[in-house]
Amino acid sequence: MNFTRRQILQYTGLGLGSAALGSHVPLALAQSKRALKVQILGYTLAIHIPAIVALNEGMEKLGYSASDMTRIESMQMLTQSIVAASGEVGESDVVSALRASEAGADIRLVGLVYNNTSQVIVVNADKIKSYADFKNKDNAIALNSSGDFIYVMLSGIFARHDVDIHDCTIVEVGGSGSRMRALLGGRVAAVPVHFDQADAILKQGNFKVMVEPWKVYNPWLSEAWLVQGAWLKNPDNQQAVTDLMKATITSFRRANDSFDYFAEGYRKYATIKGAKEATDDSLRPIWEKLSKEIKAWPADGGFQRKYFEELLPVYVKAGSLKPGADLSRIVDTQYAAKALKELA
Amino acid sequence: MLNRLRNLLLPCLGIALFLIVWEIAGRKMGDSLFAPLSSVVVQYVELLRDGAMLGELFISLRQMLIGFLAACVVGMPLGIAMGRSRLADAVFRPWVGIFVVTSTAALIPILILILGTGLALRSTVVFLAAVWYIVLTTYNGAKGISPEQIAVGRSFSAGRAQIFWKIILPTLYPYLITGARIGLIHAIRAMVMAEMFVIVGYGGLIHQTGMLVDTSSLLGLLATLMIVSLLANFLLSQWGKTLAPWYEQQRSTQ
Amino acid sequence: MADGSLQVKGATPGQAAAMDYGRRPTLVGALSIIVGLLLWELAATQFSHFILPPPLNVFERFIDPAFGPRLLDALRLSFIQLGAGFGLALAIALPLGILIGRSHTAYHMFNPLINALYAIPPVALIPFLIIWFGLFLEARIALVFLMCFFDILVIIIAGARDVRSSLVDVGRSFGASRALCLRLVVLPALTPFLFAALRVGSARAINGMITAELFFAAANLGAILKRSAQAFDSASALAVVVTICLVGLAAQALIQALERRVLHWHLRA
Repeated sequence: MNFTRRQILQYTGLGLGSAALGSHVPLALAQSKRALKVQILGYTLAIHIPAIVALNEGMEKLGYSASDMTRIESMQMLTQSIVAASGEVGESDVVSALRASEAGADIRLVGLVYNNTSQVIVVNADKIKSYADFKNKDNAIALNSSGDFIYVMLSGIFARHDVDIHDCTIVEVGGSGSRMRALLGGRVAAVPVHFDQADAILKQGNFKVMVEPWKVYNPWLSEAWLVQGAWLKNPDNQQAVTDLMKATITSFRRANDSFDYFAEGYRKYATIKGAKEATDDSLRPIWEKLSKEIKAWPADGGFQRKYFEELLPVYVKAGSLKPGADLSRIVDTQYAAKALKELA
Repeated sequence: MLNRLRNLLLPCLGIALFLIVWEIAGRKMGDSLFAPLSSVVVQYVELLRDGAMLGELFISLRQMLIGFLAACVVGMPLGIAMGRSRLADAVFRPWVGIFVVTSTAALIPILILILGTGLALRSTVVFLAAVWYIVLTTYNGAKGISPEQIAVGRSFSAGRAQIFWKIILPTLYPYLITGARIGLIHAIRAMVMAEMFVIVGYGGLIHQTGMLVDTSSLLGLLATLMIVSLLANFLLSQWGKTLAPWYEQQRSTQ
Repeated sequence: MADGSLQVKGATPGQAAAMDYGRRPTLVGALSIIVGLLLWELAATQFSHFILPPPLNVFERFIDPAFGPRLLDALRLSFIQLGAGFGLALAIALPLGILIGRSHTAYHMFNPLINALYAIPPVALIPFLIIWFGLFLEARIALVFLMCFFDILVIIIAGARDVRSSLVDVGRSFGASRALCLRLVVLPALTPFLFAALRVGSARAINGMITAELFFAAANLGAILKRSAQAFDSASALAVVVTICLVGLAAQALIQALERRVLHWHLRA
């Protein structure tokens, strides 16, 4: 009896051990071509497509391997991980990057991932009939965090409609899934949603799109490529950044000119359910809106110092940034400019 | 024979009750708020066909085992040591108390910065989530062993090893198994949570599916998790019965 | 022994010395924490202070008059959902666990279900909790409840089933009714499991307290944690985490004190 039990223990131990070890990833073979380590957001939507295509195929054309992409769920954590040098390049949001720089982090913004935003504000039309209804304390707006770029955009838009955003009930809820359910369940009156996902919500009841931020602000810098200052000192890395900007700008131009380029990229890389089977008919309106109306993919890369200077006061007014931020420490436009020159 | 039949039918009855409640609640709330069982079943077939669900599940579970095994290997001896030795108890008690209340969700961002987003992170999160429960449960068992029992063993000239295997371990047995079961559940949960942060594996799938308006797929994924847990618990208790058949006879409910 | 220390015949001098240290748990515990703090200080030198600020920076936040009182205020408010959620979980799980554990029918009917529900990470359920309970206090209480209920239930069920048949037989042979057996045999035998459940349950509830404040509408401690992280003020963020750890330590100490009074016959030494 004893003997049998001991055997069982041994075999179980061996079994579990080998099962666990079996998942050990073999050491990566040395690669002759460099793959940039990039941190990207957890989801890839229509507006991200040209940038993601650039990371994979664009870089390959320039002599690199397809980028090594890690997905991180929150923009805040993404910025933090670049600050901590967990990756080389990050798809970071401009506000958290500026904030990190304010706090003393040595980081640089080097180019746009896309211009403006594809997010709209979807409201519960039973509760919100006009902008004034936002002043009602029972009508809560769910955002990821007060202080992120949607908040800043809203504060400006509200101001134009005589609503002070500080009078409104802003609820900070992490996770776009949670925010959406809060809206559907009647717990909040408004949430930001990417327009290509808004249709699914509109079908569920009396919901409508109330705010299209790009109609008020254009250009608007929301997501940019972020790198560590120390990492950027290395000339090889500087070349890599220039090449990344070349790939991105080329991809922007192709996306504007060719619907098929966009549609193919969407089917390959979008993380929305049903992306692989998306029809041309369903994608064309999205493409047109992004390319022509929102101008999400500027042919010149859209990354210029003067845009930052225009935007800074808006951020400061909304309370997201302290006044007196030193842009020269963090905004580095030389690589985008160099890329433009080399592409011409 | 009748007993065996009863033991099989009763769980089915319990599960059937649950399924009925689910269907009723789901019908009332609708697909976008809480899909009823019928919708989920339809979607479930789709999930199985798609293959991603089972594929990611196996990868995630295998990786979870690393952290869980480490938690058992470290946690069980630690719990026993703390229960039997006042010195060990005094040294480790504050740390166990500290870590067991620390929200994994609050720690994961910090851990990501230190460990990156790979296997090391996920194994560490699983380890940290499971080990304290194993330690606490084992500790409670070890504290209950009386010196009289040990004295009896000593009077038979039993060596330390024999005292361990024949007196201490059998008394600890229910606590070890309960500890392992609780630890395993927390390991699975921690694995899913860590994966939700870095969008990989089964947790990543849950995260992506959570963004859909239709809740059927999400509930389907959660249902699979429930089935996995049932299986894991069943296997653990069967394994426990094989190791210590005498334990069942001691219990007063059969 | 009168002073409660362990005396086992035949202990070697080394063992006796170790047991001597064991008699001063607070001293050893304090030393252990100091060693831990030193390790933290060392580790902090390896990482940028955005990820891991050194201990002093963190403790400074507690005495900062702009931060400390806010922290305490938030903690006070956080305790509401902790108390309500944990209390509710105990009130339901204790009697339910005994019922299910002692009844063969109930156990086989519900045990698989309980184990299955137990496996779902509460974080995955949050969208549904938002729909059913909203974004504020009710939802937070619900999450705290969910996070500790099943742990307590599983342990109590295991304990109720663990009662040795010999003990119950002794009770029966004295002509005791089922109810009397329950009160005089089962409940006392259950006490060690009760304390295991209290330990684990309180830990889970405290854990749930802050998780709830991070995932629903940010509030109290969770809000401070979130804001600090956004401003890249890691010292403040860690100060919140340290606060939670201290609360956890206090809870464990409380339960241990309670245990000592109640369980003198279970614990030896």
